[in-house]
Amino acid sequence: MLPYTLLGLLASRSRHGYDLKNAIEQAFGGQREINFGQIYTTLSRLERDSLVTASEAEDGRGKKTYSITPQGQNKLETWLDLIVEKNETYKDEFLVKLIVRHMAGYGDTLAAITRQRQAYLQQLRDLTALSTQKGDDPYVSLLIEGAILHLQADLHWLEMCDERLEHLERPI
Amino acid sequence: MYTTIVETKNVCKTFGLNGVAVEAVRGIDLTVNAGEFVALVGPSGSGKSSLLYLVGAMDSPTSGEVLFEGHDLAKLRDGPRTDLRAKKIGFIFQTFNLLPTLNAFENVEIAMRLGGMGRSERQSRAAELLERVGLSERAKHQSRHLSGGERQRVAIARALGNRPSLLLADEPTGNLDSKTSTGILELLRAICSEDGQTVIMVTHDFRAASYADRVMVMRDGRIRGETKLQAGQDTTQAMEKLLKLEFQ
Amino acid sequence: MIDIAIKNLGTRKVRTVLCALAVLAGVFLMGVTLVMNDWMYGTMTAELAKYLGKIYVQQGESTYPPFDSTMSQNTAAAILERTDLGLNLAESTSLIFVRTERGMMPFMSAEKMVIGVPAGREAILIGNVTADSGLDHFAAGEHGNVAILGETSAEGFNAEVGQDIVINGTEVRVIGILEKSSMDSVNIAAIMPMETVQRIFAKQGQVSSVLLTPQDVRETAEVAVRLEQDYPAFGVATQDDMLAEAEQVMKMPLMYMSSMGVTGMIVAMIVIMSTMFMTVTERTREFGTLRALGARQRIVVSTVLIEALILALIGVPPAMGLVYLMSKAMETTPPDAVKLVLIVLFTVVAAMVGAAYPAWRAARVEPLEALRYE
Repeated sequence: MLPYTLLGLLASRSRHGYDLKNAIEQAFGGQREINFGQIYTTLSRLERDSLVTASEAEDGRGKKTYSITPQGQNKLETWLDLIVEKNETYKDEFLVKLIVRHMAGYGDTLAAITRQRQAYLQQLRDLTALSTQKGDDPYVSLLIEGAILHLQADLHWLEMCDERLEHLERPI
Repeated sequence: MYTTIVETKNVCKTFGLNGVAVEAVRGIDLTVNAGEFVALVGPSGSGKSSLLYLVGAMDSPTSGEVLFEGHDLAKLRDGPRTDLRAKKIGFIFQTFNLLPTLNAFENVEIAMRLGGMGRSERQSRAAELLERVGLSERAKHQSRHLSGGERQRVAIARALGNRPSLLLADEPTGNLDSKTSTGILELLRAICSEDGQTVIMVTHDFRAASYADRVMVMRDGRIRGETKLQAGQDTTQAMEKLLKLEFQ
Repeated sequence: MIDIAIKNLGTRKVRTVLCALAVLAGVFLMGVTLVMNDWMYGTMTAELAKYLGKIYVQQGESTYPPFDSTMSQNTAAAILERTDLGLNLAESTSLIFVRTERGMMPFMSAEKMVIGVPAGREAILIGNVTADSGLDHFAAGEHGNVAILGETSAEGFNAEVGQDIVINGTEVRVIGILEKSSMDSVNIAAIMPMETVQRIFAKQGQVSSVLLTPQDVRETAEVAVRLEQDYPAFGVATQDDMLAEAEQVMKMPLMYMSSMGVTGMIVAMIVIMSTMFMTVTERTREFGTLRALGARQRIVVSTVLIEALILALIGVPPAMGLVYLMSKAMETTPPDAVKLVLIVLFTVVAAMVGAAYPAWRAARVEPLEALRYE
């Protein structure tokens, strides 16, 4: 998603590389550290695809100014309007593990569920603490809340696993 | 000073509803020690509230033992049980249950009054507690003039009046929005970790449960699993983890 | 818990006021009953006080006044000459009673009567009552159309001394007006010379009764017995007999009044029961909460009882105030301390009985049941 982020930043105005690094870091409350290498690699690729142009600065210091091209704008807008596809199959690796466990004849589904639950609950705890601290920036808090909601859903799903697979525990 | 506040041994509770026997609690062994924050999570009908009421001397078990600081609650008659609730157990409810004719201060006072505390002591303690829950300015307001979150805070202050060995919370955030809920849960956390209060909370919300140190998941009257949680880890790390996921 | 009870009552002002008013009415009725009771007995004893040591000989039952009794004047005279019975003949006289207007109850000022007494003997009848403008006694042997009026009678006739009034179609000169006596029979009477009454009412040769005074008051009973033996055709009544008779007469009205008072209290009790029942039902959740917080059953019960008690007692002072005012207006004796205590007692009992069932209901509230409902 870095290419699109850069395109988005350039769509509002042309910028220097340094400018771009700062802007990205600001977008996430100063939390995200990104290095120049990544940015320049991505920028050259964008240049190569004619989505972005670079021009030398007048001061000759070698600070290039990057600008978006009409194609770049097009590509950006197309991407923005595209519906986000979630993990289409909603496949959960944990479910696969439960199935395999059953196939293998190893009982103890409940213990596996409990361990997985432990992880989710702990994550939930951590995220809740995070949410209290980073609540100011709306995008940051949305990020955190999104993660929390997903975790809650996962925990409820684990409950369901326990409920419906319980009777399979019993030896035939 | 007891370290084990509550211990249940194979406790069962069966209700007769319209001639049908409902087994709400099926043989649960639960131990809660001083200073712990325990959450009982589960869907409705899981028996979590019934268990809470057994532990809280509000109800008697059909069989099994409920030992509160060593005393078997099953053997107590109504009078002594009521006294126990007065002095050793504090309750907060989903519906707050403040007395409508009294203001916040008087609501906090009443519990201590029932516990036999003298006038000056309970008045100074009521002021103290309202301060602790952050409601000093609203002390003289009638409960109908308080928001849901404020009412629950008053309820918490009320429950702490007699320095109970145990604070029991039945779906304390059930009637609150998420922002207010967070405030209440943090308050409960604080009185546990800072003041050493033992808390048992019943909830159907995992997020609320995650505030506890021990989470017991219940279903159909049994405990399905127990989880111990650590305090929230270093937030920078957590943040990075999150962002990394977003920036693949 | 008293302050909490007061707060609770203050929250439901309308209900509290209505209930207090009902209690007030009940207490008022009870108070009026007690006062009237007192007053009737008081009047009766005052009236019959003059008969301490006196003996009445009359025909028939010992009703007082003996309107239906007829004796021949000769028989009366014969009795009045008996020196052998230990009588103080100077303080004895014959009397004739005629009722000119009927009232609903004896001694009510609506009644009017005429008493005839031999001239010179009126003092025996009147006793210690004085008159405003000096008492003009009947002249010796007076048999003209003159009358001495009792206070109520004078008011009824709207008469002044020296005026003429009409009695049974005859003009009669008022020669004296008595001040208010403790004896109602004097108050409502027009006292005239015996012969005049006999003439005006065409009862010549007739008297109603003979009023006798024994020489020794302690021998009243014995003298009465001897008279009974000698004159079996007539009734001989002493004060005791008259008291008994009067009590009989008063029984019915007293019973009516008492039932009024008792009903008043019962209504108050029912209103309290109804109010408390409503309150308890509404506050089930509150009682459940209190129990959960550690209130014993007796605390819950006492809250209900205290509220009922306060409700009941609020009504007592204004009710007693009204009773006091009424008794002043009707010129009867206002209630005394004993009555007050009695009334408060009745009210407390009524309140407790009324609140008993609601309190029992409140005690039965289980904390769990109350709190389970959303």
